[in-house]
Amino acid sequence: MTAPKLHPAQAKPRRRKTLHPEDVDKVGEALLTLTKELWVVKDRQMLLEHILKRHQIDVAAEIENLVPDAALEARLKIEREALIRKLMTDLVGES
Amino acid sequence: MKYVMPQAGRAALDFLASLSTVGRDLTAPQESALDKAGLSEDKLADDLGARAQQIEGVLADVPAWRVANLMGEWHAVHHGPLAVEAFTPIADALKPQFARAQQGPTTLTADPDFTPPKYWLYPIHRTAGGWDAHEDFGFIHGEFLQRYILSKIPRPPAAGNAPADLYEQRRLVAEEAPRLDYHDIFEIGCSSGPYTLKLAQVFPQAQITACDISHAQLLQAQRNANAAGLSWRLIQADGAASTLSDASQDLVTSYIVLHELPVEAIRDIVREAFRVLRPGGDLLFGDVAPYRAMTKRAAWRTDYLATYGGEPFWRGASTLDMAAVLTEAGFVDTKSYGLQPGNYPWVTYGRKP
Ligand SMILES: C[S@@+](CC[C@H](N)C(=O)[O-])C[C@H]1O[C@@H](n2cnc3c(N)ncnc32)[C@H](O)[C@@H]1O
Repeated sequence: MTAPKLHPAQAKPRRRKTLHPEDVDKVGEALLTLTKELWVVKDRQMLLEHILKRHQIDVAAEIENLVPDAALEARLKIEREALIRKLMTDLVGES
Repeated sequence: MKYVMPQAGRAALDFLASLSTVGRDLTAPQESALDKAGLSEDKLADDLGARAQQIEGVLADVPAWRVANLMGEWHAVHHGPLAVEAFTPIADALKPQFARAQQGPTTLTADPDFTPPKYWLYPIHRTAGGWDAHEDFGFIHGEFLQRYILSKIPRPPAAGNAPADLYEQRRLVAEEAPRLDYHDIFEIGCSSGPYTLKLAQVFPQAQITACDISHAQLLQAQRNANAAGLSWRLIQADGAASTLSDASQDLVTSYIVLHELPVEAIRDIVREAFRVLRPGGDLLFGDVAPYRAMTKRAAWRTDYLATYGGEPFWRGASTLDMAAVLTEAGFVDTKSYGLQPGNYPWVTYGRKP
């Protein structure tokens, strides 16, 4: 018995161009907005873990009112700046 | 004022600050591209427009420049709304505190019929809505944009490049006044009062009158003054038409206001200062360094950041000979000089004979 033969599709489906070159600024803007949103979430998550370690109760309220102490802010800053730097590096690309 | 910024707002403002800090890494590749293109000081045009073409023509091919512009645009468009967003969840809780802080020895005289000059309606710093963007924009600007964000981020070349103690810089300017025994001090453009607070520390015996066009900013100045137990007279007025009596003040002063005004308004303010000063009184301005005190490249960068940072009048003010403006208005012993290594703040002084 001959082995079943696979026939992977070969033709390229039709694609459409969506954005125009003049949209690039808007893409950039959206990307940064997204990065900001992502950062807000990452920040929140780190705070959550930080608090959970200590109490395991009333986490949401604690997060809302937590003013990061110097040590925590130093950790946040490192992560925050690294995230921005990753994005910035992609945007600059290879020169 | 007791408050904690809720997490999402705080993190968004931290993001804004970090964006500026990390974005500074994009300056070095720009500078080396300019070096490589041979744009040394002696090759750069004297004319600002021609110089911008030289420099920006080279930078157009530098990706780091384009990304820096993208990040700068995002910051310019979003910082105002993000600050308001950070404030909104705590607005109700702060209201009673605001009302309490209005009570105290500092008075605020509003002028409901006041019409701001046209230039003032430009959204300075591209902050959506400008100084009066929101009824609580005095708090939002003073606490979030100035105290929280601006204190953390590197400054443009005209302001010395490094993060700095913004309040300490204000005290340094106040201390440049030649006397300590003023009775009456008039500050123009006090906003929420960061410089006014330093004036009150340096001249504890003086009666301080301070004006601003923005009622929202003045409200926050009143709260800050009352919280410190100080009795200022705050008035909603244009510094060029102050409503103060002739020869009623011993010191007229302002901090980082003039570069936000067209040259004609600066001249008007200097003339008004002359009118309200007593003979022998002092005029003292702290502001950004003029272009002539910088390298041509730093002046170009400052001018570029001003153009796209919502500072339409910066170039006019930074190329104006302030000492000459004071002399024309009748002041004597005029001088203009920079403080600290970065020439920031820049001081202009004159005495009414
Ligand atoms: C950059 S803020 C400076 C505030 C404050 N002096 C400080 O040390 O931060 C400029 C302020 O000047 C005010 N302003 C602008 N033009 C003015 C004028 N003609 N008369 C009075 N205030 C003015 C603005 O409303 C704003 O609050």
